[in-house]
Amino acid sequence: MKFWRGQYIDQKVVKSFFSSKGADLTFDYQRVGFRLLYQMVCGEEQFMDRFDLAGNTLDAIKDLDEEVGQTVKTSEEFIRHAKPVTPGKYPVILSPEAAGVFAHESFGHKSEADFMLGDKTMMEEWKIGRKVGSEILSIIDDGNKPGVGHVAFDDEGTKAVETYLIRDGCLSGRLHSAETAAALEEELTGNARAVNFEYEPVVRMTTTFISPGELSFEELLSGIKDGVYVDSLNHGTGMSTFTLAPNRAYLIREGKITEPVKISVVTGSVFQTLNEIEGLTEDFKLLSFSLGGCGKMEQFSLPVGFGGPFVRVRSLNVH
Amino acid sequence: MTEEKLVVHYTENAVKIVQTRVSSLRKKDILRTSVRLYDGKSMGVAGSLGECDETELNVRAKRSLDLGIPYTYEATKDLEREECVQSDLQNSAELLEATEEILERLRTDQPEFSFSHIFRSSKIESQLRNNLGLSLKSSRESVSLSLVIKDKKSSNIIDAMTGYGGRKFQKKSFIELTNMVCEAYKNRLDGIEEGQYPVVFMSEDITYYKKLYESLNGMLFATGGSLLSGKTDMKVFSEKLTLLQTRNVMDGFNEPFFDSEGTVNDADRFALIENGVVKSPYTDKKTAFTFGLPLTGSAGGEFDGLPELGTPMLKFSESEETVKQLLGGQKGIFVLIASGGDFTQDGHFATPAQLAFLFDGERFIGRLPEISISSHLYEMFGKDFRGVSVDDFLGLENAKLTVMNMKVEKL
Repeated sequence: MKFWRGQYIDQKVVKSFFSSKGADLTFDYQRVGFRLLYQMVCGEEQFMDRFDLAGNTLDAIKDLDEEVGQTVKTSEEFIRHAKPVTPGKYPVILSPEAAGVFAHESFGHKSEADFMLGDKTMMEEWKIGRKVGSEILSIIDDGNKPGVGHVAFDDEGTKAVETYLIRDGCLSGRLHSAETAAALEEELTGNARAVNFEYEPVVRMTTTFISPGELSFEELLSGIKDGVYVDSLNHGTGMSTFTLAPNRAYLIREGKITEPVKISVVTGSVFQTLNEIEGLTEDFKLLSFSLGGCGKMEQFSLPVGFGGPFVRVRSLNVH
Repeated sequence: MTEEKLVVHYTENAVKIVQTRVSSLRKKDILRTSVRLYDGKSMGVAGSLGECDETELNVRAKRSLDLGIPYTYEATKDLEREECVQSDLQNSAELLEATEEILERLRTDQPEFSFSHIFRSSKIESQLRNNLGLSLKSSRESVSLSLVIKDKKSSNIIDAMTGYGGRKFQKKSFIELTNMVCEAYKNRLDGIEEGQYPVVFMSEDITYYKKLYESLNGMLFATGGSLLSGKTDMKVFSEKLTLLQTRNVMDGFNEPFFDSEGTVNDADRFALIENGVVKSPYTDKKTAFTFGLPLTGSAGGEFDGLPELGTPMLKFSESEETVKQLLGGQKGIFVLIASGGDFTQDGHFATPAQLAFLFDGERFIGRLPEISISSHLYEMFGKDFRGVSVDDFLGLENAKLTVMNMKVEKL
């Protein structure tokens, strides 16, 4: 390990919200996080990795020695053995982290209703009830979940609700500010958020996740002869083609996770991929990171939570 | 005891645009003040928003100093400079009128598309003073026009984009660029054969050079964790490649000419790579003094926090050739949107290009299907680096283009 940097962050915000419609709210929000970023060098190989964990109380980051140590060991194994991947199409298993980023980037942003205002094509395309994904797929946004995406009341004073964006593969809801809910004649969802006092609230996610399935991790792996497991990510995006830039990834051979591989990007068509989700584990995790967050146009970085089960996708481009 | 005061006054007019109509006008007027106390071992900092009581700030800074947070570097001293740069459209009524004019024209020229996002004019006034003779004052105004383009028949959130930033309101060129993007978008071309092509990026598009930010980080560089560690004074890139850390206003840098530690460079630039030779990583005082590196003036941090190594603006020096000359008669692939790609740790680069145009050096010919482009850091900035255009695309400010040969594949 040639370089490391540890960061501790804590924040407590007390917000008061008043409106001419009679809102009179005072509530608090707090978060705490720890991040260890490190660069490893092994011969000619270099590898930057991190441990990052956040929550709402100090308990979330207490007694981490073993967990941090294990992550560093995993990184060491990775740098010692990772080989370049042979580019191509592979069945891919996404970790809860990768699945959460995929849900956020590939579908969550498209559920933000401000993108639909005054746009007939979008309204037609995003009709509630339309089938958009595999029948086992449900994606939810919920500001009530604990973690850095916890938003008890949004910046227009609306209480957070659980919103199914996709339920059993069908478009089920979308995220709203007061403006978009009124324009589309739908219910408020508590998703109007401003990154800070300098900006106006716009429609943003809170904690977005894929709901769990019924498989064990072993069952999810079984049947994959030649595949890729994406363990951790550097970042992801979600236009018509989504991208996931893995940090740690591994080959899957004959239903077993094997050697680590270096991958620059995993891509796929959003809608094709939503329909190619063919397995979800019962094991499920919501994640909160101490730094970074979501960016939308000029407003970044907004803390959000995300997560899901382990997710198997039939085929993705791996480069 | 060294006492230092930083004052940053930010004013902004921003016109938000939704569906090719003005949606709102936002005005900002934000004053930030911080006081720093140095005793040779530690630094204490306290900051405030809005009008503040400096006596109270000093008391808080002293309390912060008592925490003993190490900062052993000398404050910058005996340096005075004042600079004032103005731009068009600082008046909100003028900005609003200019926006309406452009939107009206786009509604007529491009009825098949809708345009959203923001036109903005802003001013950043910054002052850094201390009792060792440091007195720096920077006032920089700028204007930026940025539009997200959506095909009204498309179910995407974003189909294309257009924009520029600088000092002048270049209405004619901006409309010409936007029309060119829309017309090329409508002209769908068949796929191209896979192979090596000259690929053109807006020079400032970080997508294709983010690895250089990581590799030239002074901490990583000095501790052996960078691809460029140990390569100082070695020629590892093309002779044509010079990379500058810049705070020069002519390079489109709108923040002050000094960094958060008051370091100022000649011509507000520092060459990190010169004609392919690695000269230095970017550093703040701590990195420079800890590892014996040149001080490049790259300190950042929060206005009310300790200075720390920041991420500077990097800029490729222009060649002596126009983009047409750099293409040498070939057609290039102009990458307008390449979202989500990355470099591997050992320098391999790959990204999908969600929107790319076939380009003849002057005009976009048409839209290519989504493609994947790839290369390696040492190749794209080595043998495959053609250079950066001397001319600005369509005469728009800070619109240089970078041309490199890269591998292009179907997605």
